[in-house]
Amino acid sequence: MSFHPSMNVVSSRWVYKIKCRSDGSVERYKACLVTRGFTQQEGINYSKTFGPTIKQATVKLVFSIAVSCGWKIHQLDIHNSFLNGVLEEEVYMKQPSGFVDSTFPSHVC
Amino acid sequence: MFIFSVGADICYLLVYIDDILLTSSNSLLLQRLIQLLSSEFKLRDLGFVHYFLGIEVQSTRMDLMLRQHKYILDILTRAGMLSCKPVDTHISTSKATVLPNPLFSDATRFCQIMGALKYLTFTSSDICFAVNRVCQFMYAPTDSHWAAVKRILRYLRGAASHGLHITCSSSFALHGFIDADWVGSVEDRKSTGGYLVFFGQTPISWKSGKQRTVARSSTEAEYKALADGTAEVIRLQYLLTDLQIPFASAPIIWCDNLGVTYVSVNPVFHARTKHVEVDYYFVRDRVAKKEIQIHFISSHDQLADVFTKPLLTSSFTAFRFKFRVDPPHSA
Repeated sequence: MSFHPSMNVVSSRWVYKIKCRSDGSVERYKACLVTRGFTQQEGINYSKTFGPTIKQATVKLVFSIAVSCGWKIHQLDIHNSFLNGVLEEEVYMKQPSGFVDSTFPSHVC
Repeated sequence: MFIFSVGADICYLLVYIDDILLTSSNSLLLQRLIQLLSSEFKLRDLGFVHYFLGIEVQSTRMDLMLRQHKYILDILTRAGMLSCKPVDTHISTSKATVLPNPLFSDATRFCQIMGALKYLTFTSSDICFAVNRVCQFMYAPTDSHWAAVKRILRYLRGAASHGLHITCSSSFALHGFIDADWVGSVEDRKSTGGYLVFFGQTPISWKSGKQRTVARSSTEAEYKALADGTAEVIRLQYLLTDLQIPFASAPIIWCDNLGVTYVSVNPVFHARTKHVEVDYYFVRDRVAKKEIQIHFISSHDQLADVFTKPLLTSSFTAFRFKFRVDPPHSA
């Protein structure tokens, strides 16, 4: 859509990454389009950020309890965890490099 | 962290952004919870834990080994020290000098390596003191500080495959060790304090750090370390209550300063301890409520010693064994 000055726009760039297994062998090649979130300002473009993290001592304590009680520890991996967040603000992105529409180069998505 | 309990069965869910650990007293309950979660989020069950937050987990029926072997090798590669000569201890015992030293040319690199080493203290309690000590100079690292970093890296080269050994504990009791090195810092004469907290036979929490204020007596320095250690023990005690793990007795904190053990139970204020009032009341209150016990231990057996001063190879290796930082073959 066409750009309007009141829009909350972030630019983006491609990040290429080689994902390795714990032994160092290549698992897959990833290309990831990321928004340059650091161009946003708190209070203007966004108000809240939160990521659940756990304290190191808690991990060790739970491991210790699990070993002592003979419990098995399972590991789960959430796919695309960032897609599960709910955005409260409307955010637009500039067209990613390599995919710029030649007829409307100033449009945002 | 989330706790889910049904009747006598309980499930712990540890969340780190998108990595989740799940353990339960009942495997059926665990399977049910995984199903419930997968109906809400798109997730993958990776089976038993083997690699979490860069930590390799090796498990057998009786124990667990937490290692950061690949992470250590990555740091060594980044520092270009993969083929360095290993040493037995992480810090030199010779007195550090305060001679004017040229600033280290690549401060960014210094900070990057230090940041990486800081995360390594997740499993390696043995390097905690040295890492903390060098971290104090992040604002203006000199060549001699870089030499200290290289010493830690050389030590890690030899101990790369070591890890934290978590064994089956028969008793669910917390006990802590606290120690302080009075006026140990030659730059500003502040003391270094440290604590190490065990759950059963496994060390689960440790810290080494320079105290914020200058202590006028060794008892004062030890007392401040005791207050820090007490705070951590109490926090872990609350955590255990949340996890619904019963603990039989009040946690014991071992300290090698007789003065401290006396002051912690003596309600009379001394002129020399008047200025450590907050710490004084904090600890004394807990002792009076019988929430913790403070016992004397000889300096020889004081495990937190390692967090406050450089040690010789023989005692360092002995301590490392007690910290359950073991080579892989003993697992």
